[in-house]
Amino acid sequence: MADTINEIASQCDLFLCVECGKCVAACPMTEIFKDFSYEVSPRGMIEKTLMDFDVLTDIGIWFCLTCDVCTEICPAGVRYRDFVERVRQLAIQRGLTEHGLFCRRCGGFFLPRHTLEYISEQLEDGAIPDEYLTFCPRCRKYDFGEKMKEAIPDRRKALLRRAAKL
Amino acid sequence: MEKAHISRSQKLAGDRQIRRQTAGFGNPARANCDLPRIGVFVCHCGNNIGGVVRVPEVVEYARTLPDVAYAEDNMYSCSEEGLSSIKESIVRHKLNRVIVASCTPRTHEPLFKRACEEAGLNKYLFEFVNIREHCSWIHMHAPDEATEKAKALVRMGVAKARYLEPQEEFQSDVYPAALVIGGGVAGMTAALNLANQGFVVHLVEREAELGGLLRGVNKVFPTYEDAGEFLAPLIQQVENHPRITTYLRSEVESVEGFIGHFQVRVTNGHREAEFEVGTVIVATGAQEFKPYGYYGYPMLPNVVTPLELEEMLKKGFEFPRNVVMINCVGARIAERPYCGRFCCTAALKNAVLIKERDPRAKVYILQRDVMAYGEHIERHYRRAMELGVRFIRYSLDRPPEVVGVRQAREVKVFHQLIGKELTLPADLVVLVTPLVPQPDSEKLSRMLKVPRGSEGFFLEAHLKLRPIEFATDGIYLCGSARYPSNIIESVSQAYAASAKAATPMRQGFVQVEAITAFSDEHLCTGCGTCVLVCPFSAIELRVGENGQKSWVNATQCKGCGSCVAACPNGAMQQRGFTDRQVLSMVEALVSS
Repeated sequence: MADTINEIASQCDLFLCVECGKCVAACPMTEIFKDFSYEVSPRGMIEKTLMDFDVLTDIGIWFCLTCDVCTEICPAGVRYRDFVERVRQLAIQRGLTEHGLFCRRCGGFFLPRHTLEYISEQLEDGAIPDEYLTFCPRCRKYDFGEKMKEAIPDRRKALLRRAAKL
Repeated sequence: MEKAHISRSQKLAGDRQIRRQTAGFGNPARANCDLPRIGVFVCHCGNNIGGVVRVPEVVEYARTLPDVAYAEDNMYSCSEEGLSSIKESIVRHKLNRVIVASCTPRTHEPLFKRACEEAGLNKYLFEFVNIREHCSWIHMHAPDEATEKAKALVRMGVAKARYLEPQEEFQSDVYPAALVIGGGVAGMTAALNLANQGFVVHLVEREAELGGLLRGVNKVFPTYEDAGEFLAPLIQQVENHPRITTYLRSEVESVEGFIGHFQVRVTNGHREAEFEVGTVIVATGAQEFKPYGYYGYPMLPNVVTPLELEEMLKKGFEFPRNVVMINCVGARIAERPYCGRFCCTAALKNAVLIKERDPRAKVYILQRDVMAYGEHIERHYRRAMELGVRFIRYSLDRPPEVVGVRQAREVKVFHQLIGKELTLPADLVVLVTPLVPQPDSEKLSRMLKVPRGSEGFFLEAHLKLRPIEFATDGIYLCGSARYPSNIIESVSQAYAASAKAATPMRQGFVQVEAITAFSDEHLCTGCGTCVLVCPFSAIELRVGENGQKSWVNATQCKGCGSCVAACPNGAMQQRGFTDRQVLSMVEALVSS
């Protein structure tokens, strides 16, 4: 298992990390999650991977939004998002699914559980029916197409209310 | 391969012609110091002085001073016009002392001295008065006071000029042979470079073989060629060179003399050799620090130093799977605060070699900083990371721990960022240590009278501008004797030192400073204070008819004046700055 992780790490150039911490400074997750720490930051995850920690079962890989800002900013050329995506695939293959969210209809992975919690927190109650978030975006379209249309204006209002507060 | 060792300077040796300095030194015979006739030239320096100081008033004042035969002002004394005016006045007014009151002696003193010489006046009968930096520039808002100060400065200059004496410059010949101490890569390169230029070289090596530290090295960075591959031809060239005499298993017993003539005694325990050389190159190198007491060395057999690792890699046996290298062992600590400079590079090189030999091997480098400077080393740092060498930073507060009873089994290290202690399996632990000075470098430093730094390495004359020579003339320095140097640096320093040493030998003589110290035998009590303070080892105590007296070697004296200030009896005087000259200036200042 460790060998596979090492291969992925090697292919995504994790070994180039110089521990400068720019990825952590750029990571949007630092502002969003209260429990964000070095442990789950890109830099920490890279360091743990290089030190042969078991990252497959580590919650850290489920924090990433895959926005790719860390790759953009990295002066050494580490591709952290690619690494996270491939490790998540590997974890799902191994049945380590507790931190992921899977579509009720198609069964595909679509969000880390952490992200869902954040989204639900941000949305005001009733802005979107809770059940929407149990489907992946594509299945949502199939099953709730009409309902979504109705819900969207409300959501827009909710967003506007939030913007006014800011 | 052989051609590579012949540098450009060596190729030029054959057809190089030495042009001896033929320009005259003035006519010292024309000392004419019986009755002073002083000429004062006050410079406007455009607006620099003239804009603040009322120059004509200063000239008028100078004319009233005793022994002043002539005074004038110039717009720019340093211009062609100003210089020819000075020269003409010397002849026309029979001047035998010249004062220029203008800018700084740093830039223009040689120019005015040459003008005096060209007019037939000994150049040491020239006196500089600075009324720009010391007066007009710093008092630009107070012209009245500045003018008064300029007058005072000129008055002091005149007072001193009355007591100026002509000085003579002379040359001391240089014997065209060199002593190179140390037969490592630096010493051999320097010896070869000098010998190829046609000089006789005496190369002294303590060990039974030439080669120095490099003999123990497996492959060299960054080309990864076998060290022996380029060491062998170098040794062969040195041994077969007709002009190099190699003294193996020998040490320098004594060195006496000064640039041009050093008397050297070399001994190998049984026999002694004595010879004369003109210059000395110190290339004694350094030693690997043996980390006794660190991390179980030498009790645990699989805890080794870098040179021991090189030896293992050289033999090429089945190499252990898990290697942990601990960097900065015994370096950058209170006791030994310097950085070993190339130990990181050597560790990277060996890590890459191990990983290339067996990609499944695990190599950890525990570091405090990776000094991978420059283009090649940075590239190799990257290469090591690519190959899977892992770097872990440790701090001195929680240093790594080598675990094992008869053998090191694992290394525990606290990972500062993850905040956990990691346990790394270890079949082999390498303690990467710096180079330390040769234990007997103190003896050599006393013998040559050259200084050592606080760490025990030799100390050059100037950190930036004179990096490969000592303050004492004729003694040069290269390789790890100064600080831990890699092969590239050692070779280039060796070329530099040998070029420096070749200069006086090729010229055949050295110009001797005229402004030197001299001792008055009647006042000297032979206390030896001057000997202690002299930074150039130019003074010695000689026993004569009147007992022990200090004697200044004019060839070595640089005229710094330390001994003059230190002498408790006023026996030491400096030519051009005698007590009478300086005190007359003080008197002139206080008696307006």
